[in-house]
Amino acid sequence: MSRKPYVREVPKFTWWLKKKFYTEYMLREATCIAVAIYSALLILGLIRLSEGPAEYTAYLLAMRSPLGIILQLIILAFALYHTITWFKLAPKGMPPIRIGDEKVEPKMIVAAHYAGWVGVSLVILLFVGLV
Amino acid sequence: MEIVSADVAIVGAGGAGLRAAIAIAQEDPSLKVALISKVYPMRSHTVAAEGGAAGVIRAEDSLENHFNDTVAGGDWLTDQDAVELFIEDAPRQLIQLEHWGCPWSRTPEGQPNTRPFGGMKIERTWFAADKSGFHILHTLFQTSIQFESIQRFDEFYATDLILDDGQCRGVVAIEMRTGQITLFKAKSVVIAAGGAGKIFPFTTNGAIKTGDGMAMAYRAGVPLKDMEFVQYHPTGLPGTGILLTEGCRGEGGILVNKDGYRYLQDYGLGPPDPWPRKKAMELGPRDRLSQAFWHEQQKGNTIPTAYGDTVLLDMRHLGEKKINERLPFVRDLASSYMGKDPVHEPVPVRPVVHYMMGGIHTNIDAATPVSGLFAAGECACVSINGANRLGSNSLTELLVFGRRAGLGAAEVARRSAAGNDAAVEAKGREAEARIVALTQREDKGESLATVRDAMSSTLEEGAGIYRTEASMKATCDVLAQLRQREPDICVKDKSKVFNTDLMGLLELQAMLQVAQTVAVSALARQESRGSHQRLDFEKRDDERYLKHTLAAYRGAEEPELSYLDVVITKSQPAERLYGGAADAAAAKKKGDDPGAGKAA
Amino acid sequence: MRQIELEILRYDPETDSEPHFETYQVPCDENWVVLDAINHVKDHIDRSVTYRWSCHMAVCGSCGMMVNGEPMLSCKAFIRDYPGKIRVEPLANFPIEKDLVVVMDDFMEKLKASKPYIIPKEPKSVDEGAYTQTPLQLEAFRQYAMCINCMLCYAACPQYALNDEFVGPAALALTYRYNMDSRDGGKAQRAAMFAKSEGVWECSFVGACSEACPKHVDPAQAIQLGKMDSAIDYFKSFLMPWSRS
Repeated sequence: MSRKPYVREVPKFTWWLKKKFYTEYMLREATCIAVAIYSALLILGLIRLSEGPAEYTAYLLAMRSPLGIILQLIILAFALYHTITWFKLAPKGMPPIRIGDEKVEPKMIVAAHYAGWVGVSLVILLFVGLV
Repeated sequence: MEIVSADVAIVGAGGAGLRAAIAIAQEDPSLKVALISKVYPMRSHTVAAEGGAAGVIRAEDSLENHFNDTVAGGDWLTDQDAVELFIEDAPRQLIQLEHWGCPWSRTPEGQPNTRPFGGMKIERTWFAADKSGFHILHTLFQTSIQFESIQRFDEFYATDLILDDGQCRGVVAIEMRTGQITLFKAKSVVIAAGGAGKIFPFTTNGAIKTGDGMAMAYRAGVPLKDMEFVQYHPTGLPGTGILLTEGCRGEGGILVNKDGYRYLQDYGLGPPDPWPRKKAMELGPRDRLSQAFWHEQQKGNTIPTAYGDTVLLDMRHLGEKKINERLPFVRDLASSYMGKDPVHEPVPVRPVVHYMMGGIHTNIDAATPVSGLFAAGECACVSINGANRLGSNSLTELLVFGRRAGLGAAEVARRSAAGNDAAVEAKGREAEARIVALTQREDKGESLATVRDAMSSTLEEGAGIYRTEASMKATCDVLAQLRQREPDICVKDKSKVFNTDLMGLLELQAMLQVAQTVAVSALARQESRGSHQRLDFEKRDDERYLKHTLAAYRGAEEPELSYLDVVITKSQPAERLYGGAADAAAAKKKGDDPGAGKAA
Repeated sequence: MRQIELEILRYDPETDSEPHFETYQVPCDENWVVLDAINHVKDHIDRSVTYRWSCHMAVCGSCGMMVNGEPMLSCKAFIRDYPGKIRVEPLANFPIEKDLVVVMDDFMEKLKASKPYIIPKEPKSVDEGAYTQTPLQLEAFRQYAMCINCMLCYAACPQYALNDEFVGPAALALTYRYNMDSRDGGKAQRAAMFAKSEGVWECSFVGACSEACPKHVDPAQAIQLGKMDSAIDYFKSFLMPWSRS
């Protein structure tokens, strides 16, 4: 038998550094941790609130401290990255939508996600009285 | 040498080979089918067909129309018994494909839709957008997967047929991945190995279309029939030869020369309006359109480009929506390979070698004169295509005659007694020895590419759209010389695994043999008929040439020619009329209103 | 005319222990594709260079390879899009048979196992005519029927790179294509392959397959929709056990 197929090994742990596309995918996945951390911070806030005004004020102060703000800015950046990349993928994750005979363009679906995001944000801002 | 035993061996796994295999598997699952192909089935060239497959389905159409269009389109060189059989089975085969999942484009009511093609009276071309061949091939291939009795031998390059005692008993092939020579012992064999467009330099055909199956049958003693008839498709992209389907014109595209003039009206295909209408202007037959291009070129009305003279295919008036729906692949091809988006710009095109009407001589059962050997598809000549094939008949032909070849081969396999194994194996070893000898040729400095390119350019010069005695003689001489030079080509790649250099040499041998049948058959036919147009014999000559040419193999010599009468059942040869001339003739005949042939 | 430097990954299983690059100087026409340059090498420089090709119009699917690291059909990779040198390698994630030719067995087996053919919902004879299928019903699967089996998606997929048990993009998209065909009733038979953990659930939605696909099949979408479909079937089997066929 003269055959001798050659198998190219794929690096088990660093494969995602080989291509920008893969790295972006890993970032998209990894940034979900930031979202989780911020959710935990919000829950912590609720717990502090239930414990009394002093605890809640301490929580707010901590969040407003330079360290707290830096942390939240980093989280915001990660969350934005996470959101934007997922929005980009949204058309692939849902069944095709039709209006009449025409299939709705993927970019319209992405645009609808952004519109929803802005809408929900406005409602929340209204609710907390910032707008 | 490996030995594989099967009941039926099929060479070629494109449309015809797959259809044959499925027919056998359904007919008798106990028959073991060896499906041998030099490429994986989905790579076969059926994949590149775009426009569609003809079959009568519309209420206003009739089998008679399909018959008349096909026979007249073939300039009466078609065998009419074969055409009758073909048109009757055509709709059934297309429906069968529909049942197997072919995504035919649909009418709003959900029935298969049809579009008009050149030379047809009523729209009868079933289509799957402009990827009909692709969908047909994948549907057949995927359907074939479910039959356990079909054993595929992908990437096995078949080189020789094994005959014993006048009976076809098997095939020798090289397993590409190992270089192992394999003898397939079979009770019957079907050749469905495709055409030989690659003998020409400028062709829509893929690299694999090297006439291997034709040459194999030819060497085994089956004559090649009507090889002088080579179809030029009028609309290929310059440079690459990429096909833009006749469907472009079926949907309403027009052809204009450098002055923006619809020149086809000057060649018996007008008047230009109303447009679109069937069997006129851009929807004339392919031979006429390609010939009209040649005349425009002589008159200096074409547009010179770096890749030869062109005319323009203008589809802008169809609009983006229709082009996207009906011709998305054409848009992609023209945009990518020519930088011309047909929605916004006319596309330069020129005639390009597309199809061989001729091929392995078979009867209407797809059987060759060699017992147990069948052939179907482009490699075969039944003949339903005569001197000029009508667009969209070939995809249907794959189905109708692929199936018949399969059923015929199954029948032979069932009643065939065991052959002489020792004799068959001895012949297999002889074939093996010839292949091994090729690999051991000494290097005399001859180049494979040089000989191949010399072959294709001489063929274009001598056996192009218009031919003359002198040009064809010169081509015959050059081809004879090239066949003498061929033994000086060695195999440079010395490895056994996937030796495409060896395969290239075997393909070249096949192409040279096939090319010679084209040139020699053309030289002998002293008339003009369909795609065979001679400047020195401008008229059709039914007295002398209402006959099929048969070219028989004579080793290193040129082929020996003989002739066979055309089968005529109900249509006597007449003048081929299109456009207004056809309308006028029909009106005269019926004493009727001249609007009969006009657009629906 | 432009002179390019073309690097081809060479591997002869009979003499080489591992692949290596060889560089060729190729004079190219400005409209050439990478495949034309390789053909030039084969014809005029080195006849032993081994690769697959046929149609030269991006429909037969033979000539897939890595061009400067990206899976491409070499017949549709235009020289003009590569200003520097061009490096071609066999499709990633498949064993190399020789030079640019890869071993396709794994894909062919997966294709077969996914039962890519109509298993009729209501069998019908040819005499009864064609099935009715509205243009809308056709649209439900047409895009996923455009796969030319070029395997670029497998070369793009990191999931397949790490675990070749994964059925992979093309085979899953084709399975979904048949599941969505109004003529078909074979979804349950295909579920064993499709809805298993090495089926749609192995996909982590990188999306590289859809980026690589030259025919806009969007296998990633087919797989995500397949996940949704198989999840619904799973819950249905609890809530409505009688609905299981």
